[in-house]
Amino acid sequence: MMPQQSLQSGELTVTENGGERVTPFDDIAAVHALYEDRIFRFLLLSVRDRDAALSLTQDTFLNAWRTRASFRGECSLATWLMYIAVNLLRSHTRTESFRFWKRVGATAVSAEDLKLQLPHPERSAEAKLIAQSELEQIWQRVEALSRPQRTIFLLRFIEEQELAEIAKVMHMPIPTVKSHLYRALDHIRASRSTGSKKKGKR
Amino acid sequence: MNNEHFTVEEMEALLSNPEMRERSQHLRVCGQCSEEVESLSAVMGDLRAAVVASTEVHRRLAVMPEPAHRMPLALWSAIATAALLCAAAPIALHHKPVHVAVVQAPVQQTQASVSDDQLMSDVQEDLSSSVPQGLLPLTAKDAPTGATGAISSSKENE
Repeated sequence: MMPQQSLQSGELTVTENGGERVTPFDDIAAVHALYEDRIFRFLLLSVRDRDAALSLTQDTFLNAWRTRASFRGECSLATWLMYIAVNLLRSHTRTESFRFWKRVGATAVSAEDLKLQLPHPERSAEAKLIAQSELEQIWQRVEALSRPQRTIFLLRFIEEQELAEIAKVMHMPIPTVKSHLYRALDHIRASRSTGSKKKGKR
Repeated sequence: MNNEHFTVEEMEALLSNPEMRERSQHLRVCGQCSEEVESLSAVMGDLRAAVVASTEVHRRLAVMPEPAHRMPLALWSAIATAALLCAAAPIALHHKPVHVAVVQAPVQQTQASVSDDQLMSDVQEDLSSSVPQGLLPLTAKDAPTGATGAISSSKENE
């Protein structure tokens, strides 16, 4: 078993303990405590259903523990977990694609939710309203992105993952990841410039 | 970086690496790009913070059932009380025929009082008559019977 303190660094390596390989996933409870929020967040934003996201999060950790022998420490724990989560997400959306689309928006994160959670330390009421409006606008644009563009955008700007990690997680070469990411960002930039032009016209 | 505005690749790199913003020469001279980077950076920061907070709320709701599901005891006790009241009300109403029986008693008393009156009137008649009924002479009621008998006997003789 891995001592829990060593997991606080977040980046752990595989160790040899008397000839026996020990992976961080041997102490799955500690890994779960550290990464559950992150995996759930990514899955909720992707699947747009909190019950399904919770179920997939549990499956992610279960699969991580089952396949712990194949973890060689070549990537971070977060990348490995995200890799499993993306695989589960793919099979989930493939098998339940109809119900998935039917359920869209049922318990998803909405623009209204985000506006309520907007951090506003020492902001004037006007600045707060402008920030809420911009947040709503950008979230609507993110929601309108294609699935790979959206996933890559979330991994990059919400989960703050490196491009190489995203490529590994998404089973894509880095240039493809960059292409999706730039298109997504371009789309958001274009919508913002259109929005500002409209505001200017008024 | 040249004097042209930032491409999407450069913009992505600037948004992902705050250190690059400090080193960028173009940002110092181009107000438009500087404003765009600042604005996008602020909104991305807000988006990230809001998404993290919002998904935490969703996670709590997913892990713990909503409060409405956690108080069925009070709800069930209220429903049980209402059901008991509904069941008890018709029973209480059904017990009212006891009063109806009390109402019927005067009818019996009336019947009894009628029979008593009849008895009293019979006694009065008996007392008022000087001759007892058994000793009274034959009334006209008996006479036709005898006359017809006489006529029939005379016809037989003829």
